[in-house]
Amino acid sequence: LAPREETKLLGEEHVLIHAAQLGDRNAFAILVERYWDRLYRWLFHMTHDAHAAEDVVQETFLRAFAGLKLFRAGSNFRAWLFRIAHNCFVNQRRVANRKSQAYPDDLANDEDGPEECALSREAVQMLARAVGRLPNEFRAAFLLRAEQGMSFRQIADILDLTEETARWRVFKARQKLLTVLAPQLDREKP
Amino acid sequence: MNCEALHSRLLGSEKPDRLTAEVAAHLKSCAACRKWQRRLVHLERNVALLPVAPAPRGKAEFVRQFVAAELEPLSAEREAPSESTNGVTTVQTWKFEKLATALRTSLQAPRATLNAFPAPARRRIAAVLAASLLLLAFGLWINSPTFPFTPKPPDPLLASVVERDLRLAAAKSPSERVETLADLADDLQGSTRSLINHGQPDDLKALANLYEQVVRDGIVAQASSLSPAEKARLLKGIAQRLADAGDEAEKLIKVLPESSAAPLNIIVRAARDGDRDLRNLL
Repeated sequence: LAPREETKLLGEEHVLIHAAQLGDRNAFAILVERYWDRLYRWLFHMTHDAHAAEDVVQETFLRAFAGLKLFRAGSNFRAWLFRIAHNCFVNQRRVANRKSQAYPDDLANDEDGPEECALSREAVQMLARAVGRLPNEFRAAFLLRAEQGMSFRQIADILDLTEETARWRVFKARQKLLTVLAPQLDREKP
Repeated sequence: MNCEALHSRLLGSEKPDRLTAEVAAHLKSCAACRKWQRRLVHLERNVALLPVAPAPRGKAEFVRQFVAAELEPLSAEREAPSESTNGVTTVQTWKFEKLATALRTSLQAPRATLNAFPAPARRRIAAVLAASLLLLAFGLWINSPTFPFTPKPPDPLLASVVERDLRLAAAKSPSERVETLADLADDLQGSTRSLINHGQPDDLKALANLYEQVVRDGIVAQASSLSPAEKARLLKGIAQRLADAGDEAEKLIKVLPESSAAPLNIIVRAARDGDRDLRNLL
């Protein structure tokens, strides 16, 4: 987003949060619309299970709505939501013993990236499998950085780490992915 | 800057596609590193293309139910801290020693003492222990020579260690303790670079000793009391994290001054021993 657009959205968000803090469910629903997909994507990659990911997303929003009075104006709402989501995910993993699904190889890819940097379908599947095999701790941090564009400081806040540890986990995830995917990336058109 | 240093810099950078002058200069003269950097950037950009299965019920249905008040809010979460604890790690040696003592208490209490009490009493004892650790944390802060004249930024490592310690005190099972200790080991290991960069050899030595204690007396000792299913679920991943930590510390030894080598060797040894011991438990 352009900085001006981002400022405008943040201004709107502030108004929506304030209304939701007063109990306005419609205002909170707009925030749900805005953040649902980002949370779901992240949690799907963490759980490898659409049902589990959706359960955690719903729980996150219901807990966020209940705890919204504690949210301080001017704080980062997105990071706050992701932190709640991470706590819910950790609890869900402890309590539920759901069987992980194999990584869905045949999923349609409904997001178009810029042509010049898009990998082939085969390479994206390889990347998906490699990301899926990263240890949970590394995958969570890496996806927040690579997909959500969060800073190491925000990642540390969400995952309850020091900033150095957040950096280290992204470092290791990148290193592992490059090692696994280098031959495939070399075959792709740059 | 050599190629290895450049890789390390980019792997730990927030935005590997935004180059500093030093990195750009190296890339200009090194075709292999240019190719390597392109791969890294290429890889990250494609993460957004990873396939995701559609949500079974979907966002629209959730929004409809929520607006219609068919869904009740769940109990509130604690607020995530909005202001980051970002800052240079500045824990002094004496603080590490106090923290190590507090950790010992937490590690031993649940196994040796607390389990002898019925659950409600255990919770009360855990609460008292947590409160005493909070007092310790406050004491560490208030005893600073600068208090109360200069407001101090919170120390991220100190905050992390104290919080992990509180979680240890409240942990209800060996698996929770092992997971908390593994996170603590990560935090300690992740802080080594920061201490080295800021030239704090005494702190580095204290950190290395604490790391060794957390791995040997904490993770490995607690791991032996896990059930076979918990061992299978947890230990492989933690062993891998220890192996990675050992590799990273070993790499640092090669590029850092000799004064840092001894503490880093403690970390390497502790991480490798921990990795081996955990795999032996599998």
